[in-house]
Amino acid sequence: MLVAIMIEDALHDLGAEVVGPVSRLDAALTIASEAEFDAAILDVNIRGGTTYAVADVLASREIPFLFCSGYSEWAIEERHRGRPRLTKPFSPRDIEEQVLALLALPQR
Amino acid sequence: MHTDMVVGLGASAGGLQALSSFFQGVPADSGMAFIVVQHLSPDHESSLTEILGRVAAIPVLLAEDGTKVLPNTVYIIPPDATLTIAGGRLVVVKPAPPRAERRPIDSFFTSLALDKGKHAVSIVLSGVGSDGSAGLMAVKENGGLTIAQAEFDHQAMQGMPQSAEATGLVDHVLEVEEMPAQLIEYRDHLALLAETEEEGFPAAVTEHLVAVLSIVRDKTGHDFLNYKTKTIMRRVQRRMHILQTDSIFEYIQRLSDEPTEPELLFREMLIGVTEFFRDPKAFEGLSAVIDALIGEGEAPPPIRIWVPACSTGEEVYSLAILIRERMEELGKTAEVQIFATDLDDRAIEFARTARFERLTGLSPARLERWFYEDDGSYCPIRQIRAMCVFSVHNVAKDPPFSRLDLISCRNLMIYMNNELQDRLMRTFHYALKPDGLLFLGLSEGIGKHPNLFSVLDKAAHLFRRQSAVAALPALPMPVKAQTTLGRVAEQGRSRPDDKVDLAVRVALARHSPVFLVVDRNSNILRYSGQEVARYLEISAGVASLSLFSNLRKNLRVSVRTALQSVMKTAEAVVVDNVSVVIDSQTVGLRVIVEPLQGTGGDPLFVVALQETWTSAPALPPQSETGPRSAAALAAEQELHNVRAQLQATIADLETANEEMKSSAEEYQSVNEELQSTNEELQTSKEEMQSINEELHTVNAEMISKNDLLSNLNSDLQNLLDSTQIATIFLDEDLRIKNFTPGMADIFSLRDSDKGRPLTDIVTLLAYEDLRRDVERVLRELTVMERELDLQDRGASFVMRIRPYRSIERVIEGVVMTFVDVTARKKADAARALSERRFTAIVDQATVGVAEIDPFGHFQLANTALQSISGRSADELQRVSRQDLVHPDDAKEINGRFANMLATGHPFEAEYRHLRADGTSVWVHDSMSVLQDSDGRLLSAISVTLEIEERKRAEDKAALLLGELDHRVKNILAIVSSIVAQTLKSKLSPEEFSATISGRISAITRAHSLLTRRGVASVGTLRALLETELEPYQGQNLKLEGPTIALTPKAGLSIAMAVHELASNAAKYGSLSDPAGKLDVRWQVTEGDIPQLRLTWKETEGPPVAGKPKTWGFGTTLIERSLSFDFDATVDRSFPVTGVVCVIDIPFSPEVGALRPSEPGAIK
Repeated sequence: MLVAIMIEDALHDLGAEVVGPVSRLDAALTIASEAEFDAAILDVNIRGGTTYAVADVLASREIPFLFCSGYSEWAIEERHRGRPRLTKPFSPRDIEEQVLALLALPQR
Repeated sequence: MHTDMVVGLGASAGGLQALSSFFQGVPADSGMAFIVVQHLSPDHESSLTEILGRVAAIPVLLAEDGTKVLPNTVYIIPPDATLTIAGGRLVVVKPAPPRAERRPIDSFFTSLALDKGKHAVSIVLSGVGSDGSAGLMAVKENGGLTIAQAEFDHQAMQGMPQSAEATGLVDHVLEVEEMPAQLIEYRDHLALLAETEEEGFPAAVTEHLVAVLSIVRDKTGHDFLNYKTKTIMRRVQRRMHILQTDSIFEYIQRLSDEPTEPELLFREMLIGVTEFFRDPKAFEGLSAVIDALIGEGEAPPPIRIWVPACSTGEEVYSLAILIRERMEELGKTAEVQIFATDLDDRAIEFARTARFERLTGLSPARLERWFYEDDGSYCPIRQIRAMCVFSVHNVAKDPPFSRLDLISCRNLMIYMNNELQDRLMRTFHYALKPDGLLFLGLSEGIGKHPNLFSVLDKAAHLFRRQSAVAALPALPMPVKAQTTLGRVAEQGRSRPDDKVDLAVRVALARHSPVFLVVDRNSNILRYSGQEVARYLEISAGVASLSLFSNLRKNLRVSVRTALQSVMKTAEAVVVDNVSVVIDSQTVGLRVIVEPLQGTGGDPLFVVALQETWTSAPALPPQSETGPRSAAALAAEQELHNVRAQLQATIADLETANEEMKSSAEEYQSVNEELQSTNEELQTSKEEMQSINEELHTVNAEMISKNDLLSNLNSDLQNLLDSTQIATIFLDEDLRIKNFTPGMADIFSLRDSDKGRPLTDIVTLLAYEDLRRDVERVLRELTVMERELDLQDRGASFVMRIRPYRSIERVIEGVVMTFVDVTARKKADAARALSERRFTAIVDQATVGVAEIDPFGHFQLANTALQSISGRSADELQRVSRQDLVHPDDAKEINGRFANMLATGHPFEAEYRHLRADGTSVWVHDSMSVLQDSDGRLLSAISVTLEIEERKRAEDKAALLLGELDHRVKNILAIVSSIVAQTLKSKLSPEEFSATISGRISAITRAHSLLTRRGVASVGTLRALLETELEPYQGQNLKLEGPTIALTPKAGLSIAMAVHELASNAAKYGSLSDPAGKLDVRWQVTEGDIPQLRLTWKETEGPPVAGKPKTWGFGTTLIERSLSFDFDATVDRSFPVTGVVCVIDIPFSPEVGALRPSEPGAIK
C-alpha cells in the first residue's frame, strides 16, 4: 500500500486522475475491463494471484500499461516480457518518466 | 667376299614359310654357305629344293655325300638321311635312324660346331619339339653364333625356338626377316676379329699358347697342353678381355708377374656345364643297362662306378638316384659306390656339401622323393649322399680306379685333343671290368677305338668294353700312343691259358690256317700271327688297315667276292684252289670266310687262308746226256754211301734238333708263364695303385668330414659353455652324457660325474619324480614342463624334459633344461599384490571409478560407480558410457569424450547421470586417457563424484538469493515511499530526521522479528507489539491476547500501524505522560469469517482535545495500508480520557494463524 500511495501521489503530481488503486485481482479485472482510463500500472503479485490476466485484458483493449515489480525480468511470464517495467525501488521521478513515456507525452 | 662361315638352319613343321622368307633376304654375295636340315618323312620326296631355288638368289642343291661346302650356296638335307659336316665336306649317311632317335638338327649342329667353331652359325626355326637345342649348345660352346626364331617382339616362337632359348645360350631371338642382316653383321665382326687376331697373335699362336700353359702348369700343377687349342684359346681370350689386355705378350707377362692370374685362368678353364639328368634320353638308355648291373640273385656283387670330371656333382647324384630308383623297382639292394672326381677342388667342395639351388632337370616327384629342403637349398637325402664319394683327381694324370662296372664321362673329351682322348679311352678300358660300360656325352664317341669298345646303345651313347679282346692294360700314361698294329700283335700272344692248350696251339699252329678278323667295312681288327704276313703286301700311300689295301693283289678279287657274299647271306663261304704265286712258288689256297657269332655289336668276319698244295719251283728240266764211267760209278757208290751216312747224321741231327726245338718251346712256354706272371704282377701293382687312389679319396673325404665335425663340436661346446640355460643330456638310464656349467647351480655336478646316473647326484631341487617323469617322456615322446623351486635359496626354475633325438631320429635319452624364473616369479608376486592394492583402493573409494574402452564399454567399474548408477557390475558391462548420460547433456559430453580420445587431453564435466530406474543424478566426472608404453590409446579412466546434494543446495541458494533480492527491493520501495510521504509533511529537519528514523526503525524491527524463524516467541503479534513498544518500557503498558503468528506482510503493516499509534501517543497521548497508561488487547472472533480485533486504548494521559485537525501521514498509513492490503477497518475515537483505536482485520491465512500451543489464550 505504501508503494501504491507513493505512485498515487506521483500521478497526482503529474496531474493524472487515479482510478484505484485496487489490491485484489477480481477488482483489478473488473476495472481493467470496464473502467475508462488512459494507462495502468500493475504490480505483478497482488492478492488473489498475478496480474497477467489483467495485462491480457489491457492489451486487448490497447490500453498502455507498465509492470512494477521487484523481480528480475525472467520472473515475468513470457508473453509479457518486454513490456515497460518499473523496477523496485523507484523514485517518484522514475514513475513520472515511465508514465510519460508510456503515454508518449513529452518529458518534463 | 669369301668367309668360312657355314650357317645351319634347323626347321620342322611350318618351316617352309620361314625358310622362304629367310632366303629372300639373303644377298647373292654373302660369302656364307647355308645348310638346311629339316624334319622329313623318310619316304617323301621333298620339293624344298625347287621351292627355295625359286626364291633364293643363290644356288640351292640337294646335299650329297662328300660335297665340299662352298660359299654362296644352299644345301638341303636329302630324305631319310643323317647329314653332318666334317672337314668342310658334307657327310650323308643313309638310312636315317629310327624315328624315335632321330634328331637330325642336333646331330648336324653338333658336327657343325666341331668342324667350324666360331664360324658356325646355328639358326633354329619354327618347329615342334626340342630338336636343335642340344646342337645349338654345342655351337655356342665352340664359340659360334646362335639364333632362334621370334614369334614377335623378340619372344621366341613356341616349340623348337623356345626350347632353344630355354638353354640360355641363344645369342639372338629374331624374326626371320631380320636374320640375314644379323648374319652379315656377324660375318663382318669375324673378319675384323681375324684382323686383330693376326695383329695380336702372329703366326705362332700355338707357341704362345704353350708358353701360357707352361706357366699355368708351373703355378698350378695342372697341364692343359693336350686340351683342344680352340677351347683353351677361348678361355685365354676371355681372361684377356676381362683384363683388357690387347696382346698375348702382355698377357703372358701378367700371367707370370701376378700371383693370382694363373689360378684365375685355371678356374676359367674349369668352368663346367652340368645339370641333373642332362640328356634325359641318354639316362633312359642307361636305366636299362643299370638293371643288368644290379643283376640277378640274392646278393648281387657291389657296383662300382666312376664319374671323372663330375663338376659340381649333379651328374653323380642323378646316377645315384637312377640306381636307387631301379633297385626299388626291381626290389633288390646292392652295394653301390660312385667315385666322383674332378680337377676343380671348389667344384668338389660344392658337390660334397651338396646344397643345390638350381634344380633344372629334376622332376618334382624326384625332388620330393630324394631331396629334403634346408634353408632354401635342396640336399640329397642320406641314402643318396652315402653312395657318392668325391675327390680331387686329374683323370689325365692320376692313376685311375679299377674293376669298375660303369664309367660316366660325359662332355669331357670334347675339350681334349685327339691324343688325350686316345689316352683317356685306354685308361677307361683299363679301369673297367670285362663287359664294363662307358657312358659318354652326346657329341662324343669311341672314335678310333672300335677295338676297345663296342656300341651298346647308340642313342644313349653307351659303350661296352670289348671283353673278347684279351687286353694288356694300357699304361695309364703312355709316353706315346702305340700303333694299333703293334698292340694287337702283342695281344695275340698274351693271356696264356693252360700249358697243354698252349702246346697244342703251338703244335697245331703250323697246320691251322692263318686268319684275319675284319669288320663290315673290311678293316682288319685281328691277325692270327706273323704267318699272315706271307699273304700281305704293303701298298704305297696312306697307311690303312683296310684288308684290301694290305692283301696281296692276286688274292684280293677272290677274297672280296667271298667276303661280300658272306656279308649278304651271313653264311660261311669256302673257296678252294685259289692259286697264288708267293715267293716264286705257286701255292694253292683255300679261302674260308665265316661270320663271327656272339661278339655283340657290329658284325665281324673271319677270313682264313689255308695252303692246300705247293708246286715245285719252276726249274729248267735236267738233261740226261753222256755215258757213265767206272770211276764215275765208284765215285757214285761212294757218294751214295756218304749220302746215306749223311742221311743218318742228318737224321740224328734232326732228332737232336727236334729235341732242341721241344726244349726251346718248353722254355718258351716257361717264359710265357713268367711273362704272364710278370703281367699279372703289373696288373696287381696298378690295381694297388687304384686302390690306393681310392683310399686317398675316401681319406680326403674323411678328413673333410672330420674337420667339419671338429668345427661343429667346438661350436657346440662354445654354445653349451655360453648358454645361460642350464641344460643336461641324459641317456635312457638317466646317466649323464653332457651338461652346461649352469647345471652346477642346481645339481652338485663335476665333469667327472659324466656317466653316473643323475639320481645319484645331490640336488637342492625339491623334485622327487625325476625318474618317473623321464620314463614318461621316453614312453610318450612328449615334452614335459614343470616349475620347481630350489630348497634353500628361494630360486625357481622352469624345467623342461624333451626326448633326445639322434641324427638318425632314434631316441637316445632325454634333454633337460632349467630356465631360472626367480625374478619373474618375484615380479609376478609383486604385481599380484599391487593389483590387489589397486582393487582395494578403487573399491573402497566413494567416488565412482571406471575404465572405459574407446567404444564406451565398461571394462571395470567399482562399487561406488555401481551405486551411483543403480546398476550391478554385470549390468554396467551391458551398457555403454553414452547410455548413462542424460539426453540433454549427451551432445556436449560425447563430443568432449571423442575429443579426449583424439587428443589425449583430459577433461572434467558435470552432467546428469542416467540411473537404471530412469531418474538422473548430477555427477562431476573427471576423464583421462590410459596409454600403453608406446603412447597408444588403451582406454579412458573416469572418476565420477555424485553432486546431487550440492546441486540442490546451489539451486536453493539461487532461489533464496532471488527472493532476498525481491524482498530487499520491496522493503526499499516501502522505505522510499515512506521518505517521499514524510517529506510531504514539511517538517523541520530535526523532526523529519526523528520521524524518518523512527519509521525506518519500526520497519527494521518488525522485519528482523518476522524473518527470525525457529524461535517460538518471534513472529507473534505479542512479540511484535513488545518490540515496537520497547522504547516505552518504563510506562504502564498492558498487552493481552492469544498467541497469533503473523505473516510477514501482515506483521509489517501492523507494526507500522502500531509505530504510528505509539509515536502519536508519545507526542500527544498517554505515552507523553509518565503516569499515562496504554492498554493493547486483541482477540479473534468466531463466525463465518473470523475477525482479528485489536484494541488500542490510551488512558491517564493528558486530556484529548478532540479529533486532530489534520490527518498526518501516520494516520493515512494506518488506515489505508491495512484496508488496502487486508480489507481491514480502522476505527479511531478521541474521548477526553485518551485515544482509542480498534482495528478489525478479516483473519485469513494471509494474515496469520492462531497458535494452539497456548491454550486458554483464545477467547
